[in-house]
Amino acid sequence: MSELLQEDDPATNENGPLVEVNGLKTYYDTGGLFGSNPVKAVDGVDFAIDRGETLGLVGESGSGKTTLGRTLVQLESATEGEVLFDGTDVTTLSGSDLKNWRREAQIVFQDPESSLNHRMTIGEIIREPLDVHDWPNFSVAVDDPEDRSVSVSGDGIRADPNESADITVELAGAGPSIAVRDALAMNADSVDVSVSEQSSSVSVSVSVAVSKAQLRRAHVRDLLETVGLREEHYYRYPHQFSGGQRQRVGIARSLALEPEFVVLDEPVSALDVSVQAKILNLLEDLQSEFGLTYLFIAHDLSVVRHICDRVAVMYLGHIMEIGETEELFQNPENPYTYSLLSAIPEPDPTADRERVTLRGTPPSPRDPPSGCPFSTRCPVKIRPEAFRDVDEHTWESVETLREILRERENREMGVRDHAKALLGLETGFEDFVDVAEEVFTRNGSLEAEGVATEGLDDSARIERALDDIDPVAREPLKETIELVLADKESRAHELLVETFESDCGEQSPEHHSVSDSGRTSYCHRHRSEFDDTAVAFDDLLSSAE
Amino acid sequence: MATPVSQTTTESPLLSVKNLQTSFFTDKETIRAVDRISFDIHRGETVGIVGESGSGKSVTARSIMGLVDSPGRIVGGSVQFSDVDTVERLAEEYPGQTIDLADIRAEHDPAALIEQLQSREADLSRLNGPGMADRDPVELVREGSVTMGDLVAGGYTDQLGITDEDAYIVRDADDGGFVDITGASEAAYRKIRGRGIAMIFQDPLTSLNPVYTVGNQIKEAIRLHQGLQGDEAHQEAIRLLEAVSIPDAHRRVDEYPHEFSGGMRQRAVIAMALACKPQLLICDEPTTALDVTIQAQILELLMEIQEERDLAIMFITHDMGVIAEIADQVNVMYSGELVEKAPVESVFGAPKHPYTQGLLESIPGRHPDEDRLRTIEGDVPTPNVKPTYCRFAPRCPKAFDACDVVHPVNVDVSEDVDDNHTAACLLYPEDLPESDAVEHHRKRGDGGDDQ
Repeated sequence: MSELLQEDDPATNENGPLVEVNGLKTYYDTGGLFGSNPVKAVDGVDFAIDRGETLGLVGESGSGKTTLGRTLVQLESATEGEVLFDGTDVTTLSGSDLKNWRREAQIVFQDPESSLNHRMTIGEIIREPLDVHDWPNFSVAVDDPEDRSVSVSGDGIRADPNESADITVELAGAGPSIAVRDALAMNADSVDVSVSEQSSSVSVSVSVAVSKAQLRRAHVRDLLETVGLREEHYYRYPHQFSGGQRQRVGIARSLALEPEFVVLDEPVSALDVSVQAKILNLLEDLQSEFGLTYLFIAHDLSVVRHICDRVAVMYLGHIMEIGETEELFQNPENPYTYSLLSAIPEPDPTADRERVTLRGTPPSPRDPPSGCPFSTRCPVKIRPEAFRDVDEHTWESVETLREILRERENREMGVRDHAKALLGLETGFEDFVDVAEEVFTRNGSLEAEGVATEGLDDSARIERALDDIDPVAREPLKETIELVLADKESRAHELLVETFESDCGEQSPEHHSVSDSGRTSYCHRHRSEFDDTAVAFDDLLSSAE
Repeated sequence: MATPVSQTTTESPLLSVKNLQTSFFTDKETIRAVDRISFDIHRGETVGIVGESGSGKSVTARSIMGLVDSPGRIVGGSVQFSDVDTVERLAEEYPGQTIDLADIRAEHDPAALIEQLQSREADLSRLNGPGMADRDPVELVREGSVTMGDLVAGGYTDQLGITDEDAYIVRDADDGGFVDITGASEAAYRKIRGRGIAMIFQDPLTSLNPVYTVGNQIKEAIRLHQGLQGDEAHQEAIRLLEAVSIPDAHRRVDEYPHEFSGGMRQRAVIAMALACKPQLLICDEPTTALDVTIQAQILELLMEIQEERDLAIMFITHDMGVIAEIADQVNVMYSGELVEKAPVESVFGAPKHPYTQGLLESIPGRHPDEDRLRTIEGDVPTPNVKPTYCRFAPRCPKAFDACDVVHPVNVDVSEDVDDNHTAACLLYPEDLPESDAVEHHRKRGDGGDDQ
């Protein structure tokens, strides 16, 4: 594929990647009166996409994958970092430069229902980008054996040497010979060229007998056919189409300006599996036909595995792992990738495998955890030395308690809550004994364990609930609960963090290289002093049995 | 996969859908969205329903719940719900529409009734279960495989004028009886929904009211269905939120739906459904809008709840992976019809209907060595005419001439005796030569009732 592309435009720097992203950050809600706490949707990512390659981008909702995709095509502006497209930093482009560049990078949206204007016909929808960009611009390349300076007048403009020209005029021999690019539905007879040659310069005047509107209509018809629709669909409206057909329209629109790079933002998520298969096949055909480079955003991992050459796994604005698809799926190195893959339901009822179910939901990107972004949910988080051997239940209880305190601390207080706090009426923690009981006991409450709670006071209940906890951890936990009950919740949270935190929550990991093919993973576990992810998961699963 | 199916199939099903037919009447055409489908759900069992959009999965669920909106209407068939508690409650409320089987048994002899029916040349095919197609009904009665209950359930006593056609509640001291939900009035439906059958939908936000706290909405269900009030209801609401694994339920109970994440909202909706103490839970694509990690949590939760409460679950989805994970029995729907029905292992291990085969083939990853995904050509047709042909034939790679003129019926294709695997395709039964198989379908197809 990339070979084909290089033949097409020999002037681009063949060997470098098409898209290169360095330290990219996209924040929302920056500035403002109190705006010191933005949503960190994309929080520092680096990667590159080679020409003709399909890079998959997966992650849970809220991981920032869509924002990243939109930033790459400049639908969002980056807060920091650069996006190099063919060596140009597109985050700095503006005005007509930006508009010109937009031809090269297009996007297909997830929901064909809402991304197509219901009041426009299919033909108008696909034609719109052509009208906006005044396609075709009749760029003229003059092939002059004597290499004189060239000026173009009339309908045409001089072609950018980096792009393929609509009309090529060759000056060799008797009279100029004219060639028209295939994408334009006209033949060379419709172009009239007059050339006046001087010794040091050539001026070419071009007049085209076919109207641009005619050419655009023909181009749209071609596109309809390319994406598997029929010519007569030109005059129909989006509501007359099925979901799969609408997605084809969205794809045709994105291809109208002959881009090099297309961001596919969950293009098949809304479709049935049999329709999905057709669209995926179409996307692959188009890629090999036009030499396209894709960024494929999806949450369906089996689709990604099928279509992508490489995959990047995102969590909370960070790329956790990136590498060759098959390698990453067969042997995930990052604990998040491992958990994500483990969650995919396999279409085989006889498959019997150990599953890791992640606890809770991702934290808010407004307030990401310190250290590793995944540290609050990681099933194989590195434990501090003193607690390395406590049982799973104890560790799980500690993590749950931390999560509860963290959430309570971060919750948004309404006017009522503020008023209550001011009056010292209620802190929301008066029921904390119940919570502690639920967290620490194995069965969810003392009652369920057959303990008579009648007549037990709070401290006796806590004492009793802590019986299920490993003795090493009892003392700090008891102290934490007492602090909470004494209304010193932030001190309690601090104590819990101090006691049970490890590198995972304290320092950001590095992107460790984990294979020969250039795969990297963002996790402390790759440091030599710790067990590997796979080993850690094996331990976890065997202890759960 | 929690329950071994063989154990449960011996007892009578909790829900039995027979020849259910729901149509939508528009000026232009009549759309047969659900076209004579039959299946059973047992206690503690998960029955999955799969199919592409437009295949009638959701309409089936809504028909069972009595939620079909105009211009749609149930035009035929029955949905028999055999929960003792529900039967008793309704029988008490609507004595005029209740049939007491004990009374009828005392007055009539089933064999005599059958002879009466035969003399009227009534169609008795509905009595003949699988494997009894060519037997004499009178003999079956003597043997005990056809009972008075079957006669009532089949509507034969209505034909003879013994029972009232409007009566839909059947009380039976022996096995509890059943309610034919399709006959219930709106008021009666309200008694069945929730406590009998509860439903959760794809988008939890549509089931939650944004201006009330989550606890408030759960408490409403508790008050209506369990009769608890005040602090008792509050504690029960917290307990339910804990039961669906919402951490810190004490605080969460006072929060509004917008403060919950997507997965947590779906948990809250499940808690609301559980507050009604249902016997059957209908899940209409409950995980489709969720991330895989959250989906895994919800599926795990549903399986836990099912085991705890011996709940029957009807699970609608288009995701074959989810079905493989959660279902015991699978029903495959295509264009309003049930085209294949089997235990989950057989559907994935040995799919019989070409549609099921195509559906499984198009999942990415089934053929890792192939570059292109396999597809099914064409789209699901709108079922707007009475089927006199196979609706899948235009897209079917194995179609032959007869497919355009003979409507296939569900025939037994089990490889294993206990499998109960059926498929509606003219290629089966496989042991018959093609022309005989077609003849088999033609004959059985003609015998079917029609509206």
